[in-house]
Amino acid sequence: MTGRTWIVACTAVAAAIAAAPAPIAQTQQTPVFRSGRVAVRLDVLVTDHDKPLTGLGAGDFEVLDDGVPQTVDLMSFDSLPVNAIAALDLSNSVDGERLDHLRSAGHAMVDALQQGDRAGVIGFSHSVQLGAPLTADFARVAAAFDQAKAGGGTALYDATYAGLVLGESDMAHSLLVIFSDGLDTSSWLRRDAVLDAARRNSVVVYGVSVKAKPLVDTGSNAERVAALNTNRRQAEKAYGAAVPDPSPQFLIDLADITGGALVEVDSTRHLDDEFARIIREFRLRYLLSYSPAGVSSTGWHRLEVRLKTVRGKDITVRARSGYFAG
Amino acid sequence: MPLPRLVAGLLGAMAAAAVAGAALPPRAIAAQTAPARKRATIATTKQLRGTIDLERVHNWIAAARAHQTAQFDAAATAIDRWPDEALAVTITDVVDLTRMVRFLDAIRTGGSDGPTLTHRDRSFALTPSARADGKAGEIAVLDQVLGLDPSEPRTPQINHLLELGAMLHTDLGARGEASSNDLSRAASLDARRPKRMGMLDGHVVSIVDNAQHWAYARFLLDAVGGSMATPPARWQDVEPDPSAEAFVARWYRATSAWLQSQGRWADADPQMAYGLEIFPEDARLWFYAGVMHEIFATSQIQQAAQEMIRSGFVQQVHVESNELDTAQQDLRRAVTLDPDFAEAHLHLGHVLGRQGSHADAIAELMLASRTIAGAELQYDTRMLLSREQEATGDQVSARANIERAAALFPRAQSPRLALSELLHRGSDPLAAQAPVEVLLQLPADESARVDPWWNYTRSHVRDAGAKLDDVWRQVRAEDVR
Repeated sequence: MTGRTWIVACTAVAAAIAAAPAPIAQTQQTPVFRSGRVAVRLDVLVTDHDKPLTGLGAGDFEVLDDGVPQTVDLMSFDSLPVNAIAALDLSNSVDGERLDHLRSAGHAMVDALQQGDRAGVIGFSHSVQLGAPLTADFARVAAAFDQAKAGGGTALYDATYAGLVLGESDMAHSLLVIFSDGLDTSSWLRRDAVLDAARRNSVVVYGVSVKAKPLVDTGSNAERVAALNTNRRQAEKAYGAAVPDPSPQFLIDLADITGGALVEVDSTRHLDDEFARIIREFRLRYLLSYSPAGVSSTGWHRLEVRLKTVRGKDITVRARSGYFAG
Repeated sequence: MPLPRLVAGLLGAMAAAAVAGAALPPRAIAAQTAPARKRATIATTKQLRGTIDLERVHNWIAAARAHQTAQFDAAATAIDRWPDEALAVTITDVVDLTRMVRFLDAIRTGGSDGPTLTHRDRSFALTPSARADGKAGEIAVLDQVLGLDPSEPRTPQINHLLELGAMLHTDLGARGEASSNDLSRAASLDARRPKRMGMLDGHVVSIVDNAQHWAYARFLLDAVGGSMATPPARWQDVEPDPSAEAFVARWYRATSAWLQSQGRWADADPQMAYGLEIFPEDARLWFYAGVMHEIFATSQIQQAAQEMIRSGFVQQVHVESNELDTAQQDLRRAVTLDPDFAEAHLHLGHVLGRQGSHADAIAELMLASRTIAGAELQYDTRMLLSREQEATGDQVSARANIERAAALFPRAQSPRLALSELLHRGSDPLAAQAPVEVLLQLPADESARVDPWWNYTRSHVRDAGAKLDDVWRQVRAEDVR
């Protein structure tokens, strides 16, 4: 389940908290909201045969908070601006034609934005660098894509964290698009720490990854496949464990936690189409809100979002897997 | 210290079929009470049946004496063209000749049997019988072949020749090798011949033929040693002991460090293994070995190794948990041998942290922090301490160490990220934004925002080049001709 959750207190209280000076780190966690009604906002994508399904209402949805059904309101995204942050893997493996395609994809993303939206660019190798801050100056964002240069390691976890924090810098509708092969080699932050930050965060993450090609291509030759499998088992025995098939698991996990998606492409040639599609799809999410009832006011809450009235085996509902309260 | 770039390296690999399921076993620590240690060997299909190609021996010795420090000069060029088989046989012959000289030198005042060397055409033939009165003539011939001065003690001369030969092959081994970037060839490679996979940023990017020069160098240095008090019954049983030779110890340390600095894991692993066989009490070698396994446990090495495994290649890296276990074992040995080895405590602390032993990690890192020298290493220690302290719930100490690290390198990105994550996890996610905003304002030029963490896996061999230069200076200082 993937999606997006906001925890919102009364406006006045939220403003007062935001204005307070940052406290010295404490060993005991203090509540984020001290008073007022608390509403949980979820953004949800419904697809039918992989195409966004629109026209649904509040009554079509069922939300379970830690298994407890909740009463749902509905808010549309039509009027909410988008903050779109692109985090681009600029390590050694992204060079030449790939970099050109990435630049084109950046332009396609900018072209899909509308007035009122903002965009930002983070480029990363082993260093995490700001290409463009969140800005409505789309020309500046496009220039950031054009100036991107490749070279170095891959600090995927560090860059993801920076993008998540940048995305939650205001309460807008924030999307982080990460382009990477999903293999971190340089970060200081640990994988689990970044996933944990994503759980506490309101940004939706879409990962875009190029499928890994095998070193040895056996094609469909049964004999070669059998030989490779035999060799692989021997190699795994020497290694000490079975080796999974390659997959950008970090990006998959991020998508699941945040309500986004992973887009895997065979090559970077049509990356521009994918980036533009992500922006368009992001606008077509439903925003559900509810005031939690019958559940704890603190800690991690597991969320399930289902459709009550629409059925079909090709219908999928993507929503965030949970949220931290208190 | 140069900024890190790629995470490059060469992992040793063989097609699984060639290995027939036999893994490169985790290296066992050489027990102090173990019998004869494993000696360096080189592969040759020609067993020494008594015929030595004198011309090849002469040419090899001439090249070893003529070769200049770390240059690919005419001497090195000439030897580099030799086929592996010819090199292996010739080096074996040279070593055997030195053993014969040692043997004859030791018995020439005695009356025990030994081999008779007969000069036949341009080669030597060995016959089983011997006569004591022939020894002087035989040793004179060997002096001539090996270029020894009979008026000077032979042992130092032999050692020097072997050391020169080892340095020739060290320089040849250190050269970049021709590689193929055509990975489609991987499936058609000769499975009988070991390969090395070049890797970059966690991906396998090339295939490199496995040259033997490091093995030749080790083999030569295994024949270095002092004079024998009592020779064995046969010259074939002469086994000098290099463990008392300062040059050999420095060579293993310097080359182990250099190979690691270049990411040449395929060669670094056996280099340290053999070094530790000879010098099991060398804390520095245990340190290098431990850090190597610490690096083998990192994601970039594990990912490259898994890529090779999926293609059916047995390679030298083991699963992450096993590598961390070996790293801990080796680093503990280093700090046991040298309790003041601050850098070993640092890396041991990191390994323990990765294994989830946070309290033990903190203890090691605190030991390191008391004496570790240099801003980069102090930074590493503070950052790793902060991580372990956060893991134990000590947010206050964690934050203090992050800030101390940031004070050492104000433009490093890792402390900003660490502080932000600490705040994000704690009571104030809003405050977590400020450090990230500072991070994202850092200059694009990496030389203006150095982060020692980028170099953590190379910092332990930061002086590798200088160490190797020292070894060359030592061997040249011992030139007697």
